[in-house]
Amino acid sequence: MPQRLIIALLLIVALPLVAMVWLGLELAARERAGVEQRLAELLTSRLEGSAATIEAVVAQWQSRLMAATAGADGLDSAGARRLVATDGAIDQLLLLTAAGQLRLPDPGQGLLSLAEQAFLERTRPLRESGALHPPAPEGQEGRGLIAPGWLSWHWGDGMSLIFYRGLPGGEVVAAEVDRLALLADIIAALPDQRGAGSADRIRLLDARGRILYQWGGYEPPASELPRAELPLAPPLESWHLAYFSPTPITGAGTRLLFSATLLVLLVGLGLAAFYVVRQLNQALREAAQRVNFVNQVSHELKTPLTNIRLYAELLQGDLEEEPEAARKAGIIVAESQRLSRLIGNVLSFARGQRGTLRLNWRAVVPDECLREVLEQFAPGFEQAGIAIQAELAAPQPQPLDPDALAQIAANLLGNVEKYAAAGGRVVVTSSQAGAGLSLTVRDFGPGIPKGQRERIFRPFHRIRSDLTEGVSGTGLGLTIARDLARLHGGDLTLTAAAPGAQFTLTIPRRDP
Amino acid sequence: MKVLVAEDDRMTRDGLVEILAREGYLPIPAEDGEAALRLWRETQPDFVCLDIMMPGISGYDLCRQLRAEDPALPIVFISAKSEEIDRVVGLELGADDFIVKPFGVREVVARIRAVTRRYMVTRAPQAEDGPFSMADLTIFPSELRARRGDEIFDLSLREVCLLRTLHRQRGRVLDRNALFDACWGRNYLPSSRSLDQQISQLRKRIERDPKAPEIIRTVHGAGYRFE
Repeated sequence: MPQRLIIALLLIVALPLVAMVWLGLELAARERAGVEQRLAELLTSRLEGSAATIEAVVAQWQSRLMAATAGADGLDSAGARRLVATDGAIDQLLLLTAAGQLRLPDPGQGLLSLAEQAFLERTRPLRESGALHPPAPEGQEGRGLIAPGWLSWHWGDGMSLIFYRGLPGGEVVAAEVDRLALLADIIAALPDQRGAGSADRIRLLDARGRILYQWGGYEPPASELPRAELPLAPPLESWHLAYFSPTPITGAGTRLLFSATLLVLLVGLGLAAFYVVRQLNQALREAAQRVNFVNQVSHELKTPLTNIRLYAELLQGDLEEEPEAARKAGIIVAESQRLSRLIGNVLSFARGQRGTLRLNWRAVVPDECLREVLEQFAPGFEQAGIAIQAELAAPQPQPLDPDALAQIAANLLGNVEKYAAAGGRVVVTSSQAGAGLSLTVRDFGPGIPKGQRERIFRPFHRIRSDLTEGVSGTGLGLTIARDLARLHGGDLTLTAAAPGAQFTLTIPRRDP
Repeated sequence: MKVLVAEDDRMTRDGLVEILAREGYLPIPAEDGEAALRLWRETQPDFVCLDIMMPGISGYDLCRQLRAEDPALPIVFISAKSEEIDRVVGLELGADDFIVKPFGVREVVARIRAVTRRYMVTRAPQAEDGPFSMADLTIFPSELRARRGDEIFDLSLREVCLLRTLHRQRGRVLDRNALFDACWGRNYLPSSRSLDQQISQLRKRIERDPKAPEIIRTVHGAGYRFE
């Protein structure tokens, strides 16, 4: 099969395939990104549920602390210590004057415990920065109460959490919350560690990423990244929730679908290509068989044709004294010659198709060869009323294939006989310059329409007109004539002439 | 001059035999390779025409055998194949020429004459090969040609024989039988018309005025004469 065809087929199959793969991948990537985003949103909303649970616990704690510190106005040191000792939620207590000065625990009133000393130490930055004593909102009746709030900060190994509120007397009370108790309450509010039937895991993580609590039936590998994360609302903003699930739900289906589609397409295109190639191969084989058949038939025709021609010529010799009978024998001779030329053209064309059209170079006097051809055509031309005007001036031997030259000349003259008889005359000119042989055949018929001038050299092309209607022909003559001219290193061209047509053959001289 | 014609198609073979006989050769027809080999040994022809595609021994094989026995034997191939490769194989085997089907009488005649000329040049010179003149025409028998001034005429073997016979018997009237015996052979029984036809055709080519011939004159009721 021709290489160009294979390349074309590959392009036809490969190009759309590559385009489809690229497009598919691009679409799949976008689809996946979209799905992942939607999934992350979904998961985040799931985490938001847990976050809301935690926030509810914190809100409960706030109510509880509000209640616990409601009577803290004017509390003395002993009262404060009692409150801390009795309320499990409060670790330490701090009271600031309306002016923001530290009132309790008071280092001036007896000895402070180690816990109290440490508490004062770690709250010093808070106190000094005024964070625990924010300006109270301006109300209609002078300054209002300082609103309750939370502060969280990191000290040592963990997070410390302080709840503060303004008291009606203008003081501010701040309670350091028992972190573990808060965490215990949060954990109690969250689902069990082994979530029944759940195939995922949610983790509550602190600022350093340490797991505070986790639940769900899935145990993610250490390297696995969470599919969604959600930071908690203040005061627990340094903590966050993370969601893990075993299989990426995202895009798995899409990819599978895409791969399956691609496979089906690939197989489909492959089958189509295979079918096309097979059909083409079969067509080529059949064409080769036809050419081979035509070739064989043409060879088989040669022997009977030889006999017809041979005996007609012998008969012509015998009938010298009977001109009418000799003329009829002459017609048989001329027709058998025409048939010979036809077979010659078919065989040359078949050889050209097979790439085996070769020349048989010999030193030949072109005019001798041309004269023989003209002599062959003389009776036919006479009958058709075409006068031959031969101006032959190529008497020097020149290397060329005499059979090919005769075939070219015969094809040109045959066309004149068939299509340009109305012109009544043909001029055949040969010349030999230093460059080589030049032969022109000029007729005075209807000429070749402008649009057809190059097409007439294509195989099987015949000009359609009233002129060619009913005229037999294979449409091979000029194709073969040009092929043979080009094999000689020359050319056959149609040159401008009016009226009629003029064909010019050139065969350059080459060293024998 | 004897020519062996090996061709399996009877019509082609008969046609070739007729052309060769008209030219003045003594054709020996063979219908296949075996017959050709046998006839070649029996008759020792001067040259052979071989068809390539024959049942039994092919033309190529026959060519090899004949060449082995007589390296100088002129061989002409007759073939329906005109592919270049066939020509190359044939010429490498030592064929002198190729006649490719479909062919006409003139092509056969031209090629046979060309081979005959080459054969005559290479064979031992014979007394009858020397040139001779009739009026202003000079005949070169070994070249199968005659010349008048710059004009050259191709002649057949038989035409050379006719001219030579008339030239040798210069001044004498030769009747038809004498000419038949000399140029057709004793066993040949041609019609008197074929002799007259041959003379008439020859005159058309070599006489200045065929209606008032100078070289071959007709002696009515007796025959022909050269003076």
